[in-house]
Amino acid sequence: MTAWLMTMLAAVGAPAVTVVVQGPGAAEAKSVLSAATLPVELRLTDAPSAPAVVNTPSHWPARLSAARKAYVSANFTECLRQLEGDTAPAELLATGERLLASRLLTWRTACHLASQQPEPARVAAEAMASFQLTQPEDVGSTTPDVEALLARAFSQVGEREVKRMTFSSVPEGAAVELDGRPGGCNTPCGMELLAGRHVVRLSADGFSPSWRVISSEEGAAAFSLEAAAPELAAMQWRRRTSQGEALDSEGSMRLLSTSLRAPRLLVVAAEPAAPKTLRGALTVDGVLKARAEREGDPEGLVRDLLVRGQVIEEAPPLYKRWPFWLAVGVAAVAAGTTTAILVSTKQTIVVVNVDP
Amino acid sequence: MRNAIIVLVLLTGCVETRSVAVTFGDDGEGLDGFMCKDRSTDAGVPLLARLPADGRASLVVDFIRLGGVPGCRSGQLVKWCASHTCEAIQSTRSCLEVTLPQPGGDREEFRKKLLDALRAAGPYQALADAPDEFVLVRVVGTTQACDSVLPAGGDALPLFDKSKLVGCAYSCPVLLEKVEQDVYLGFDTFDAFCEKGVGTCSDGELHWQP
Repeated sequence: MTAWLMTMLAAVGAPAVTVVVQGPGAAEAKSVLSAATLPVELRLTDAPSAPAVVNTPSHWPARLSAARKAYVSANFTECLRQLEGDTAPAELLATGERLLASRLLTWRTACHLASQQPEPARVAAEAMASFQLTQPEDVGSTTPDVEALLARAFSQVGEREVKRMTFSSVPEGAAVELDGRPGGCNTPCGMELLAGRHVVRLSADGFSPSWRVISSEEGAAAFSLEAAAPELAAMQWRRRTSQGEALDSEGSMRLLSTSLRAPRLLVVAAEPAAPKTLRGALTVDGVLKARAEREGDPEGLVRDLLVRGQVIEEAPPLYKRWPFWLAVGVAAVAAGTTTAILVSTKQTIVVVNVDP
Repeated sequence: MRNAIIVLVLLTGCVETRSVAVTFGDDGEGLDGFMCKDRSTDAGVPLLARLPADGRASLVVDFIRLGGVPGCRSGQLVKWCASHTCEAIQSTRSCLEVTLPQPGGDREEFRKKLLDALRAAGPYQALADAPDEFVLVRVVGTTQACDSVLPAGGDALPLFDKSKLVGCAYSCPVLLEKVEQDVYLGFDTFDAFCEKGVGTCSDGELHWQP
């Protein structure tokens, strides 16, 4: 009861540390840690279970289907109504939906052309060529003049000059996607672009992605990414670990810290091949502070990490503890007293006294 | 820590002082060694007859290291010192000049005179710091001057001139630091012809002198 009370009192005001334990022996390690007497508040929790990718249903397949039906029925007004939305192609490209963007621009070209609106039709065809989108099968359902307009646009855009565009971001290292195509480059970097407008999207783990339409005339584009919300960080973390990344890698720890809203995160993990070997890592405010490995003894591992991460102070050496000096003082006084007794002078005067 | 050192120094510097009195007994019964006679005549001549006319003599006080704790009787002491090193501690010898009475008269009367003469000398501090071992306290009376029996510098203790001895008395082996009574000096003898006993008592090594 007293030990429990002391632990509770010690925990009041103690720093909170979130602990994730994974791997074989996790249940046993959690049991040990839940009973551990450490000068911190250990919050044992599970890793987030969010899916790696969340597919939100798009309304565009249905609208494109309706536009096609209206076009075939010669209801071009309805066709164009289904395709409304100035930023729709860019939004589709920003989410990597190049096929949907291609179909949208193809039907806009067809419906505008059928509605005797050659300029909007040309703009749509040119945008499709500028984004270097592949012509969809839908083209086969349009009139030959649509096909001819698209071919002409591709031809004209192909003759445009190539311009150098540089990208930068805060933080650096973000992945650059151009017109919905992954694998561009990582900031800070540069790319050769066909002159014209393009959709650029930057993404980095731990941050919300950012996109915008740029003109090659700008020459340079700078982005600032905002920190990811915990739910997004959880998705990013799940994607990384599902791709085989170690639980205690720095990137994984940072995402986990965000997704669990844990400023101080401690991960303890064991490999199935060596279940007795516990690996641990500690991050504070997303920065990796310490790594350690130990055979068994999860409490010792956690204590080691907390000390090395300067979350708690190491127990002072013996000579820095006041009881030590008290004991030394008592021993010195005792030794001094004993010595004094042993060496003190005892003077005895002898008197010859005949008449005592 | 500093306080501890101060306490240590103070304790180390403490000196316990106590006094031990050496006595010949209330009635001078320990003075038999000063009433011995030699065998130069049939009746014997008192050793105190060696005193000059003015009765001046020297009482030499020695503290004799015994190298152990032998028994107290004279025979035991002589036997012990025959096989052990018994020697007066050089630094502890002291000497007191006294005036003793010429021998004569009844033995008990003379003992009283002798006692009165010693009383007249008053208390005499023989030693300021007693050795912390068992010793035998010895008082030798001689007509030799104090200067001739005290050691000069670091020299060995001068031996007594046996022809000038007038008496001797000694104590049991005693640890002066611990003794809780006066130290009694006496002399074991069965008759008045005890010159050889005085010689043994005053010997440098307490050896029996045949």
